Amino acid sequence: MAEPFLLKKGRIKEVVLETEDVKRFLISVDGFGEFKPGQFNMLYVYSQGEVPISISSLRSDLIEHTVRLVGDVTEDLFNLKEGDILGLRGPFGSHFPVEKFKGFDVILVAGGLGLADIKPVAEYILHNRDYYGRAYLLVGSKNPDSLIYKGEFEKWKEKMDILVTVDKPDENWKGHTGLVTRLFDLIEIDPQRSVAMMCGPEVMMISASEILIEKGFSADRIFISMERHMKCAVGTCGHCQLGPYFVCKDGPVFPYSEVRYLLKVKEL
Amino acid sequence: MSLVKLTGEEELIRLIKLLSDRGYRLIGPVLQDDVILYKEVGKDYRFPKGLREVQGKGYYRVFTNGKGYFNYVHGFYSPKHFLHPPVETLLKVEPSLNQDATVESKSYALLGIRACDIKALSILDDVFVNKNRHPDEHYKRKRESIFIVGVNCVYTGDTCFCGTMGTGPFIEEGYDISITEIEEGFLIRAGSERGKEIVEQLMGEEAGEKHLKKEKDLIEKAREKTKLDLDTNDLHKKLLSKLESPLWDDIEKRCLACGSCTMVCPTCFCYEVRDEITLDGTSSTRIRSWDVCFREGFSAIHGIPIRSSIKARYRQWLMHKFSYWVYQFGTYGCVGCGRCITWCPVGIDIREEVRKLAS
Repeated sequence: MAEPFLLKKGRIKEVVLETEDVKRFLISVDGFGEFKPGQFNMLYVYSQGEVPISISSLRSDLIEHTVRLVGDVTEDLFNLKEGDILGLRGPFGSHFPVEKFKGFDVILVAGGLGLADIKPVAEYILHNRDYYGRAYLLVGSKNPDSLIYKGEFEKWKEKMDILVTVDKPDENWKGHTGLVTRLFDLIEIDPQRSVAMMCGPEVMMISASEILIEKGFSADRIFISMERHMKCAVGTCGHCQLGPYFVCKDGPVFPYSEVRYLLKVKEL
Repeated sequence: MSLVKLTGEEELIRLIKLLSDRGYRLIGPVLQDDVILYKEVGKDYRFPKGLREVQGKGYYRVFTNGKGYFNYVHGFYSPKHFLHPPVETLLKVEPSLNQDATVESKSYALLGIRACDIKALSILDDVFVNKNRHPDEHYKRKRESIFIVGVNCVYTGDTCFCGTMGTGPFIEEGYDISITEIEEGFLIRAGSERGKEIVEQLMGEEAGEKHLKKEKDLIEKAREKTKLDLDTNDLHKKLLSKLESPLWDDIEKRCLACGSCTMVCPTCFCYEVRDEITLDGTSSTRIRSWDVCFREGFSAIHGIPIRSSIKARYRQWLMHKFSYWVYQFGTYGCVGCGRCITWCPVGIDIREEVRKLAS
C-alpha cells in the first residue's frame, strides 16, 4: 500500500459560512485516530491536490476544519457542499502541550485565521476548566466582519476572558482597536505561573513573544504554531524546512525558545 | 563473511550472469553522451574497459584510451535515480476517492557503485524509512530487494572528498559484494550472505596477505587524495552560527540558482507532488517529481516565497547538507562525491565555501 500517501475518505456533513471567505467544514471520517490541539490534516480535493489545514475542534464525532479561500486547492474546497466527499490524511505534527500545564494561567493569542488552531486549545481548557488558573483568549482580527467563531465566544465568555481587537473598526464597533499585542496591557499576567500559546501571522507571534519575554516570561513557556509550505506532511518533500526543523513533523507547534534564533534570520 | 577472492576479468562476466540468472534488473555504468551514467543494462552487459575520467570544477571529460576497468568515479547519476526516481506515481485516485495504491517493486542489482553512493543510500534510508515515523512504501519496497555490487575506489577524481566526510573510498558496510581492482586482478569480497553465495561460485583463489596489503595501500593513497584540510568535528554547530555571514553575499554573485547541484546530489530528496487528471476526468494520478530548493517558489506560502534571494536559497542548500541534516538525521547530508562541484556550471566548489564559512 502506498503509505503514507493513502487518502481516507471523508464526507462533509455540515458547512458553516463564517465570513465571506472562511468556511467551517464538519466531516465524517471512518477510523480517524486520536489527535491533539494544534495538529493538522492534509485535505485532498479530487484532481486538485492537497493542502495542510489545522483541525479546528477537539470534537471527534466529526472532524472540523476551518478553511480560508486563498489558493487553487482551497478554492475547490470552498465549493464543496454537504454530502460531498474529500480525501484526508492525518493527524500530523506536534501539538500545543496544554495538558502539561495544568495549574497554570493560560494566555491564548490568535491572529486572524490562527484562531482556528487555537480553538481546540480553548476547548480543552474549557472542558478541564477547574485545572487551570486564569484563562485569557486574545483575538486580533482585520475588521469586525472577518471575525470567526462569534457564536462560540458567547458560550466561552462565561468561563474565560475573551478580548477582541480589530485593525479597522467600522462605525458599530465598540471593542478594542489596534494590534493584538496591545491587549497584554489589559490583562493580569503572572509570568512565573503562566503559559502562552499562539497562532497567527509570524510577525505577530514574534512580537507577542518578545513582549511576553520582556514581561518576564520564559521563552520555553511560549508556544507558537508555524506555517510553512507543506506537500507531504511526513518530512520527506523538504519544502517546510526551517533551519534544522521540518515544520510538518517537528512542528507546527514549537516552544518559542527553540525557534527564536531562527526567526531572527531573514529569509531562512 | 570475510570471504575475499582474487579473480580474473572473466569472473566479472560470470558475476553479472549469476545476478541476471537470479532475476535482478541490472544497473551498470555505461558511457553515453560522453558521460559515464548508471543505466539499466541487459544480461550481456560488461563493465566498460579503458575509460578514464577527468573531473574538475565545472569540468567533466571521459577518455577511452585508459587502462583497467575502474579508472573513473561516476557521472551525474547516482542510485537515487532508481530508488527515488525523478518522477514517480504515488497513487491513482478515482472521483469516488477509491484508490489504486499499488507500489512498484523492482529488484535492482546496482553494479559498480562507489562507497560515497552506498553511504548516500543509507542516508536516504534514514530520510524515507529508518528515521521516519511514516515510512515511505515506494522507497522501501525498492530498497528492500536491492543487490549492491560496489567498487572500491583506487582512482579518485579531483572533486572527490569522501576521505574528508569519512564515507570512502573503501566500502565498509551496506554492500553485498565489493570489487577492488589491483594489478593481479580483482579482489572480490562478500559483504552479506547473499553476496557470499555468489562469490563462492566465482573461480579464483582466496586472496593472500600480499594482495590484501596491496589493496590497503591503494585505498589509503586514494583516501589521502580525498582528504581536505577541513575538520568535520562539530562542523554543523560552527556553521549554524554563520547564518548571517557576509560570505553568503559573495556566493550569491556567482550562483545561478540553476539547481544542477541538487539534481546530481545523491542525497537531495526534496520533491513536489502534482495531480494529473485524465481527459475524461475519471482518474487522477498523484505524481511526485524531484524539486529544487533553488527554485523561488519552493518555499512559497500562498504564492509568496520565503527565500526570495539567491543567497538565502544557496544557504538553505549548503546548510542543509552540512548542518541541519545532523540535527534532523544524525549524519551529514553530504557524502563527498563531488558531483555538485563537477556539474556546477560556474564551478562553485562547496569544499571551499564550507571551509571559508567554518574558519
